Amino acid sequence: MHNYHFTPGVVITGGILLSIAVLSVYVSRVYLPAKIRSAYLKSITVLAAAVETKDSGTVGHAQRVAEITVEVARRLGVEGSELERIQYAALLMDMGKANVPQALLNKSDPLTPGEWAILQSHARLGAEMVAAVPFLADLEEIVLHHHEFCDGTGYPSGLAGEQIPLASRVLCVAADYDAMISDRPYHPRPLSPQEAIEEIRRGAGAKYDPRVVEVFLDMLAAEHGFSEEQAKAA
Amino acid sequence: MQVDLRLYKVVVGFLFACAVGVTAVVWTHVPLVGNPWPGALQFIVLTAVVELFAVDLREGKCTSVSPASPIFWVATCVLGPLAAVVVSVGSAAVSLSAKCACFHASRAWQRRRDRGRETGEPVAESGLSEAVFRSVSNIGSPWKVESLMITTFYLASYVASVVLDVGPAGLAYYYLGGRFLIDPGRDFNVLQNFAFPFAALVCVSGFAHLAEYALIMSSMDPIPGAKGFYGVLLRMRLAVVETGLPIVKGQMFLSAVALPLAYLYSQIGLLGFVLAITPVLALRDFFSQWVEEKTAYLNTITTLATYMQHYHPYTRGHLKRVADMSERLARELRLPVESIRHMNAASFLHDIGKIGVSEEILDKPAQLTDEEWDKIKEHPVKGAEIISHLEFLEGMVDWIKYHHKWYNGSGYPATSGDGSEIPIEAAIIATADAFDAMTDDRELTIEWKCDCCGFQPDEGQRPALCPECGAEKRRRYREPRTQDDAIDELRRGVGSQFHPQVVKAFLCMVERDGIRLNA
Repeated sequence: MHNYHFTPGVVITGGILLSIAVLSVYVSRVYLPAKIRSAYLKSITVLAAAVETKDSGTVGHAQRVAEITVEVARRLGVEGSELERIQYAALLMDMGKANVPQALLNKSDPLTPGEWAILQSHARLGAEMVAAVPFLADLEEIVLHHHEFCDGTGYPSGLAGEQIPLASRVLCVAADYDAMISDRPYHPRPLSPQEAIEEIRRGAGAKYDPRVVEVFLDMLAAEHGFSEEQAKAA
Repeated sequence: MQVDLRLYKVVVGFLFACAVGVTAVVWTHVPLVGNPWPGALQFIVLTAVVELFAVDLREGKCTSVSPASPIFWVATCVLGPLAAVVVSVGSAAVSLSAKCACFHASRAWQRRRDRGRETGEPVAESGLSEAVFRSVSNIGSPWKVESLMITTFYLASYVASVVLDVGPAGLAYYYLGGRFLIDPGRDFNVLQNFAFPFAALVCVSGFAHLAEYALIMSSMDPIPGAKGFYGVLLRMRLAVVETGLPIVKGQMFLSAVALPLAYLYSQIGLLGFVLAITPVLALRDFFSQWVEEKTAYLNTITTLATYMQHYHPYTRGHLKRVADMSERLARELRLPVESIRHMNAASFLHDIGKIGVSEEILDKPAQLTDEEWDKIKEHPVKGAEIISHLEFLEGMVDWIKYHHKWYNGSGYPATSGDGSEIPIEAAIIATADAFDAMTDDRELTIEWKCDCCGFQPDEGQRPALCPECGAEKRRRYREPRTQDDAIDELRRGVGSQFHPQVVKAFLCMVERDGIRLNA
């Protein structure tokens, strides 16, 4: 029986079985990971959006910040899966606000030092949240430091310059820019993009990493056609 | 799982005797055709390999038909029943000892790595060695050594079950006119000499499996209130009812694997075996990958969602208890596997809609105004809205939406239905949630901490005003009820607030296992 009878029947059956095997390997190694990746992205975006409903005026904030951050990070030479992680971090950075009282988030009067401390705790809370999830644990540092300034005046740890993870430095610029041009309870009216750009430029070197600001402004110029002159004129 | 040891030993002894008897009959009554032994050796090695990479997809039940069964069937109809019995016992021995060896190897490896870490000695950990370590420790499983006695009986039952899966089926195949494909002889008629006897073989093997399982189960998991012989019968009946259908389905699937295997093996030998088994392994890999990825995804989402509701320190404990209780209730009510698997996530997510409701309303110690109450009543719909956007969780949208809807149709959200639109999963969450909220010792279990400045007084003190900043302590809760009171409350609500079936299952379960499993 061990002489090989490669009859058409055998060849067809073998072919069918092999194609099933190949198909299922393709599905489990290529299709499934892609599907799961998109599921993560979608779900994290939705959860971030759910937290944003607490904080009036920030709906869509995380998503816009994520877009800007990813683009700036790409221009700074970040690639591949690292870029994807930064995108998650951007979406998740304000998750900590879920545990900050809503009244505080929407307060238009100046905050007392105590309230200010609670509001600032959102960076730490968000980092804790992210650290608790194995899939996202590597984002802890990025989320924790997304409100640090280059000159060491930010929170929670007062890190300065290169001590701050690059992704956090990018996030800081992107988040501040988006906050400036949106309606927020703490400023009377949103700035125009030109004014916001000017504000960011003024902060370069003090609050923001100059290299990040440069790339960020280049990106805005390329995407929205704001030329340097226009920005200067504003 | 509780085991009636005396009965277990009797059952295993009986099964083992049956296995020996069947083997004897096979030996004396079925003639050997050709020389099946080289083929048998190939089968042993290959089956052991397949078993090693088998993935356990069972939901904590021993109902699945072994992935090796189609191989044994093929061994029966190609090599003959005696060779098939030898193959089944041989491959069981090989794969069990290989698993044991892998277990010990991975433990030794782990120990060496731990030691290396403690002493700070660099341990070479390349990606490849990590992968090998992973797969070795995945394969490894210990022999269940509690005592030598138990191990002996476990092995005896294992051997008996593989022999009984194969032996009687082989006899049926032979006596119904099946010929062995190793040497089918003249006038071989595919229908008469293979297809029909093969169908009989599959049926007998499935039936034997069911009978064995019922016998083994008769010694496990005593049912309260049913003692003695009646209890044993009841357990057997339960085992048959619970596993009958899955076994039939499994047999059908496995014969789809066995037929091409038999065909290809008899035509092109070893290569055919490999060709036929590859898609099975690939499919298993796909399923395990799918289950693993989905579990990781669900865990990620539930953890995030839980942390999002972490503003109240007590919520986590509450959600955890609700999740445990709901999952147990779903099992008790014998809901589909998919529902049981999602119950946990759904319980953690059920109040996610409260994220949009301000804490001042949620925590308000005084009576709520109508407006505020309306805000709170929105949370199931808001939650359902959030869930509906989460991938893979579409099925639980209605569970969340209706978890404050009463059985008689009152409650919220207001719908035109009479309560029949409420899925039973929502009723489960509602019951578990209500029970835990009633018995929860909230104020006492949380640390006193100022909402405003975060000041914490010495242990045991619970001032009404924060001594540090003078802020009023906002959260106050009603006194928790005792568990008996809460159970009475559930009983009173049957048919109006609570689903009768769920409460019935709840009472049953609590009486049998207690409120909490590990308590």
